Amino acid sequence: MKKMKKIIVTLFTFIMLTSTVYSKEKSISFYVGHSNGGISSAFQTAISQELIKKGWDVDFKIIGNCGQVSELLKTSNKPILAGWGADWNSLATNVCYNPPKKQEFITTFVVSPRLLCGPYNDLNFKLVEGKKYKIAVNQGQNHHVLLNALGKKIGVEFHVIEYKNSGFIKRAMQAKEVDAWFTTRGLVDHENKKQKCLYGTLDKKYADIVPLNTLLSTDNVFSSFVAYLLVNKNVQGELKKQLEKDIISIVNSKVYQNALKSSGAFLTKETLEKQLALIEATAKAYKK
Amino acid sequence: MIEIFVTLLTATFFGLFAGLMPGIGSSALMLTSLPLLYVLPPELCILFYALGIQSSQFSGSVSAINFGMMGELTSYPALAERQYILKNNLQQTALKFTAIGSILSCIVPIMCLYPLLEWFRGHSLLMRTDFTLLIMFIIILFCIWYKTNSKLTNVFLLAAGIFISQIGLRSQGSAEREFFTFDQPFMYGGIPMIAVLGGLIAVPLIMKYINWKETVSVAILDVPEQKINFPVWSSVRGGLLGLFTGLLPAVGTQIGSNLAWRVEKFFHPNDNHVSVMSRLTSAESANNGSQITVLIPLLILGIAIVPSEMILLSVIETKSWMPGQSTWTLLGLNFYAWLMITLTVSSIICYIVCYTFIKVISGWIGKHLNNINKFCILIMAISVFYAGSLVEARTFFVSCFIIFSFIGILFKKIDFIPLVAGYFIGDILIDTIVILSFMYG
Repeated sequence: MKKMKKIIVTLFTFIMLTSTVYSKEKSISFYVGHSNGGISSAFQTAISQELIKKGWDVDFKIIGNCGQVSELLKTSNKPILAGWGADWNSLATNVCYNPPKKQEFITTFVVSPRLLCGPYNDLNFKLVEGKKYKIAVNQGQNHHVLLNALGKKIGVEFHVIEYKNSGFIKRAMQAKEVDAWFTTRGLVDHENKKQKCLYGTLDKKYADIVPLNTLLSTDNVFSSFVAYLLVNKNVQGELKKQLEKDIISIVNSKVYQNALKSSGAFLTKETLEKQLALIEATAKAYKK
Repeated sequence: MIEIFVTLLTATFFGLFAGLMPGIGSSALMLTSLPLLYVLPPELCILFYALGIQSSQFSGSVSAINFGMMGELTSYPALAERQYILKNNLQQTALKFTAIGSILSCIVPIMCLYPLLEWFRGHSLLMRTDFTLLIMFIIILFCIWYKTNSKLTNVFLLAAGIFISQIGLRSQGSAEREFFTFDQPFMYGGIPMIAVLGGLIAVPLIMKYINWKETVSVAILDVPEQKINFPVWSSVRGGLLGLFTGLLPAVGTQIGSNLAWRVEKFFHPNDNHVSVMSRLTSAESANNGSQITVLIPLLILGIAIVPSEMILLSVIETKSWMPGQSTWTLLGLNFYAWLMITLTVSSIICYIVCYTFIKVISGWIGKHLNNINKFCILIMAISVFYAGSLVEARTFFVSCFIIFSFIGILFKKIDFIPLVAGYFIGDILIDTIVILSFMYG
């Protein structure tokens, strides 16, 4: 009986110890700096849920403030994973300026082209030379630079109206408050023939959408939405390797790829160097 | 399925309890429920809110009739008629009529809610930024003319609310705007909503009622029910008035029952059994009707128009919720279908509890009033500190809560609703003005 008791106590202690070590090893704080309602916070939520399924203890928070997340990355003693937007790196004076370093970088998790599209259910939408168009864009991203150049090139005038995020732009389109929009939300409806998109920040022609880089030679033609995951200094060695492995398997999974596709985004398997180059080019595209 | 069942039962019973307890208003109910709200998906949070607030209104008049205390302004008509009710042993009849009036004025608007939401969504004018500005303007006007304070005080409070709402680091695309952060990272997130709302509204209200047992007089509910016909038309009139007043920002749910009571006085001016019951039923019907329509601006435009709804909005905004863009379904039914089903089921539960078990419940509450109130304060304090533990700048959160509570208690004669409203509309107001400046500038 005494022996039995000893075995049970030893086993119990072993289980408790191993589970503590295991949970400690696979524990991470995942902070979202992007605002709610956007594509980035939605995919970060999905990644966090998949990480939990893979046995990670995730403290997931949508902080919605990149400045706070940036400060936490710098000062916290906890291992932190955070999603970052390439556009935040356009100016070194920004509080959220944080270009990825190789040792902190995990992977890009969303690449979504920005498309110039017409209203819903207007499949004959076209830009008529000499006319003025009210066009909705995301605020603070300097899209007027590219749109003014495009307007000059094709002979139309764009009246750029800045909205808080894509959700508000969608509402403005439904309310017929604007004539066109230049966001990352158009591809799916264009492919499903619910609206017509004319131009986009694409590499090559896709579904009759003209890539802007064939018309204009400015850096701004690469203003796609690119988001990536990075970690702080407390995620190193085995922990980083395990996290990297799990996240890459999540973003390469069929479910995740389908989810990206259904929101008009995509992700191709690229080398680390190519991903970093894309982030750098995208940051430049948001400059004035 | 289990989550919807749990939400339905918890919200209904929390709401019934909050309504029965004087001092536990709808804002305090939402603050106390924060730990639960943080784990629920946004759609279930909205369901919880709708069910909880509706149930609290159901039992609110019971509290007024039974204890003679006004937990919220909505209970004023019940309190005003209380003397006559007690004198003439109409307690049971009053409870029955208020319960039937409540259920009628809930179910009819619930049935209309979905077509109403679809109608609003189908009319693009209502989604326009200029329309949002118009709503903001109406909210501002209501805040300035908010009758509890002087107009000058209201203007100051409103401006202070908008100012406080702008403190912090705002991300504007690829750039950021810092406002009164003094380069302190703990201030990037701005002044926490729970600190503002809890400190200025909930804490002073609870402090007001902390020793309320001294003034309470418990009514005897064990009296025979009197034979009076249910005043159907009074209930319909009250219900319809409630539907419209529910859309009025900041005050809609509060003035609905009072307005219906005054209107009914025109139809039934005398002090007899029928008139008193008609006025009471009309007020109670308006009260519940307004709780349904108050949801419409939130569900379509994402604008919260009463403080308790503002707490809800602040929680669901952290869960990627966007107005009118919910794709949540359960067992093939969408959010609106579940809203209608659960509101109907909850109304029936409320009716059964308020009419059948009220003697037992109020007897128990009557015996343990003081302890229950203190327990509620403890739960609310734990909930607020739990919410604080979720944010990174914990010390700042707690400091803000203490400072605002101190201000709320010190200036207890001032009603801080305009400040809270200003705090909540601040962001939308600034965004709307910026968009319109682009549009017409």
